[in-house]
Amino acid sequence: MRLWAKGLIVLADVATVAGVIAIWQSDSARTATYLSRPSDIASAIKVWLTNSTLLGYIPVTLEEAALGMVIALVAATVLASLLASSSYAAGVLEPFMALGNAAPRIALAPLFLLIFGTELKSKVIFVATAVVFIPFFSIFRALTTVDKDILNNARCLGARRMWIVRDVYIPAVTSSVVASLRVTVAFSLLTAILAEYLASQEGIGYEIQQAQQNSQTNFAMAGVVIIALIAVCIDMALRLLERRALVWRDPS
Amino acid sequence: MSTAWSKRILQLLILAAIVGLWQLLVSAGEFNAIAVASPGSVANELGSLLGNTTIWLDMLHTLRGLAIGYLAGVAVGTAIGTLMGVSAVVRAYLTPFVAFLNAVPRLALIPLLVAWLGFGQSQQVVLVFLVVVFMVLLTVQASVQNIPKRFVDNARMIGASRLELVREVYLPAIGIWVISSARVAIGIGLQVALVGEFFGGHQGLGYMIEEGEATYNTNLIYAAVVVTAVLAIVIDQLLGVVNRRAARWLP
Repeated sequence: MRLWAKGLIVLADVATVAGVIAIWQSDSARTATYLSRPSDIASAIKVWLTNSTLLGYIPVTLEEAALGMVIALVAATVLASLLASSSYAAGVLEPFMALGNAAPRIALAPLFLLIFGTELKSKVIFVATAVVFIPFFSIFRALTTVDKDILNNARCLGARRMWIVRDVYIPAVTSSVVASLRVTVAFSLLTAILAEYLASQEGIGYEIQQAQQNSQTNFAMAGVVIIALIAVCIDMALRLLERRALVWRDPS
Repeated sequence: MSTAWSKRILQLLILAAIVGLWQLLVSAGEFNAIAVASPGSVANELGSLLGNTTIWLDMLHTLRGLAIGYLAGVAVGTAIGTLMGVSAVVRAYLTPFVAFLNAVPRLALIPLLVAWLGFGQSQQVVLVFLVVVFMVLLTVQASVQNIPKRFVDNARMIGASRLELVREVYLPAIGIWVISSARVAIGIGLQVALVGEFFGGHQGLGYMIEEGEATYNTNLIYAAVVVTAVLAIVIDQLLGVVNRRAARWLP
């Protein structure tokens, strides 16, 4: 695409955002009760950014999401490697994995909080169990669908088991982890917020819940917008990482 | 003994071990009784529930919300995703909006949806739609973009019209991805449908869980979870069959 065309599209994006905000702002009577108003949301965000308590909620939420996600990634890698190394074990355990994946974990958040309490630990466990199957299935698939030709080539060249792991399996897993990372990260954030929303004394989810309870819709919406902005920034960073990490991959 | 049989037997043994361990731990008082019910009492609860019509109506209610929300999501997601896949201009224009909206924590919107649409199925449908539509959209966009250029060129070379190109090249490529993404999308959609009922419903499996929590009837919660898991597995198996059928013609 030409540079001027790109510029035009950015302009069109900006115009659309401005238009939506203008319409939303002017249609105050009906939607304001449910969705607040852009100007009120903006002032809530301003309060948020100048208030150190509220600002402190952001790292709290990020910490829960990140810890839960790391545990999920490690567990998924270990589990997937074990299952992929034996097709018999995979066949035996497959229905149990499906069962775990099918359990309505999000609706079970209150039970988690009952069993594990309301501190950091319970939120981390909740996030980890909620997202673990996303990387698990993609790593498992990557390990079991490694190109036979590549494996045979490596063996022909006299690769030992360790070499094959290092040069064939680890790259395959890395690319699938990176590819599923964006979804995993987004879900980790969402589940961390849900856990805070349901039972917590701090975090962005807690602030949204408090605001809704006090009918401060603009603060609730500000929380939603802040989370979305954080998620978009992380997603953009991950996309860059993905491009970097996967340069070596066959472009087809 | 064939491997298939030994697998089945092992699976049953593992299941028995899990249930046995669970029962033992509960009997030994290892868990908070409000949080964890014993397998025996859950089975009892399930038995009495399944003899009643309410649970079947609840299941139907959840499935209906899931189906309407999912189909609406597939329709809209496919339409926009195809446009974004085909046209670089549309893609460049819409990508920032899709990225932002997809990042919005939609479960936090439930109270707003309930205030807006009331307690009932419409907020649940909208919630499922909002989650599914972006998953489908991104899948379809990627699948259209990844159609090998030589397929399109070949079809053109042998004189395919625009309509034929859509029918013979684009639709099959999109269809196969929508079907293969359906397993994940419907799995997540089911959970979202449950959450919708949990917070703002008066019927359905999610409402059952909510009812169980509100009345400290832990057996009811676990019974609802078991029913949901079975339902999810049945749906997943059905989609797996559809998937294999649809993928048969693939190279």
